[in-house]
Amino acid sequence: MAESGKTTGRYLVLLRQDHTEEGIQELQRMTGASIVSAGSASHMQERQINTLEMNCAVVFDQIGVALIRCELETGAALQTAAAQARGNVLLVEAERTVHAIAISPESSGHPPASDEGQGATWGVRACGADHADFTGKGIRLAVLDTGLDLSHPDFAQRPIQSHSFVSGAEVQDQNGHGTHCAGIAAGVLKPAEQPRYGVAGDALLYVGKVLGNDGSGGDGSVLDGINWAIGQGCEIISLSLGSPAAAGDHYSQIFEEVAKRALAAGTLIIAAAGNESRRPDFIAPVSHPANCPSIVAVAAVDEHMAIAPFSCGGLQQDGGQVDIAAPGVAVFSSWPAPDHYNTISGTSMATPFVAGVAALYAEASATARGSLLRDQVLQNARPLPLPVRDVGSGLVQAPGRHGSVNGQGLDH
Amino acid sequence: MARIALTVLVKETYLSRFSVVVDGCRREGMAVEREMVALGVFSGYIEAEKLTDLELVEGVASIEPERPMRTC
Repeated sequence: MAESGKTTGRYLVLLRQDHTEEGIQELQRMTGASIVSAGSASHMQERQINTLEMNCAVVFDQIGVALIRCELETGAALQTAAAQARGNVLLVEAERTVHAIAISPESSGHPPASDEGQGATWGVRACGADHADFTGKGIRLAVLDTGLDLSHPDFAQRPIQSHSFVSGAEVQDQNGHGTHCAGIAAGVLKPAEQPRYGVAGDALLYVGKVLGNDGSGGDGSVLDGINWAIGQGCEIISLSLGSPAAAGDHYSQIFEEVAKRALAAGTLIIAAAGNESRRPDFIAPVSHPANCPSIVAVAAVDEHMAIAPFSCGGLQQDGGQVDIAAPGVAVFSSWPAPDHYNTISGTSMATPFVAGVAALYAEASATARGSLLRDQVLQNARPLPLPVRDVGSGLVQAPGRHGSVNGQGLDH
Repeated sequence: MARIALTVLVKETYLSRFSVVVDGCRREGMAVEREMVALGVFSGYIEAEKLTDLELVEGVASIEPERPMRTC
């Protein structure tokens, strides 16, 4: 999470997987807390979370996490006990105020160590975009997210179509997430001072604000954005967003039908697999709407081609598979002022890499649209020595050349 | 009474009569807020107990409660 330094007075308690009940009992023994609800998230539970009383806890039993509000001393005692004991309460953390999903120790504004001295970020190099013969020219690529910093120096000179689907909010990105994702998908080919961080620098960018500046939205705003993007003739839609799925959840029939209609109209939808895993202890199923078969679900890998610890996996029998993987750890890209750039992690970052590469394939072939475009992107991925559950067909690769990691080709 | 947010999918055979389906759901008490004609879906709110009535509206393929979305 992008830390603001503020805590909420509540604590997140990680319970041992498959021992949630025992974990809850231990939590109650240690704190005397009342459990106000359990079960998968619902509107009702959301209200309970917001008004959680002292010494009460809400349990998210599908992911084995409890949220407890308690006194500072109780929280500290809980943390000590969890660190010492070998029970079913694994970890206790003070809940932080969050603004965007970002996990990185790197300082804002400067590229991480893996990008230093390189002409392009490790992610751009790993997918081969820096050696590709295509740049997304003439391809309409929509990024539906928290908007874009329209005054960003790397975007200010570029014609961009944009629209807000969030009531009362302008397209201007006050979160950062949308600017970061747009930068990965279609960032400028030659930034003034920084390494190249974008894949399809010549793509026609369509920015739909479907998430508020607090990073939240709903099915309605996202569908509204998809509807707009298709109406604008976008060949590709990038969705770095989602809603956690519970084990056994069926994918949305509505989003699946929408995705099929989009494919028929020549639009490929690409979405983040989700960040709910805590590997190796816990692998979460792919989030909604990425779990729809007709939507490309993207997992995140790091620069060593290891699966990101937060990356969701293809656990469901029907739908919910991971289709492909892309760079999603310590990814440098654009950010609103004053930093202008930031390095963050997430399947959110991996998704626009795939969207940008899809734009390159779309430029390479006029018939590569919809399902055919999807097939080209997935079939040309570089296989990785990792489970298909985690990375699908492998690491996304731009058309034409092989990607490199730290200057070395991936097939050596 | 609890209001829930929901999304409605229009049947393939009713896509050209999108507004007819929207009107049908409005008559059953749905407050329609967004209409995505190209996709054949619309969204809005309804009192929880009226949800099942919507399924009977001509042209409705499926209905789903809205899921909250977040950045990943």
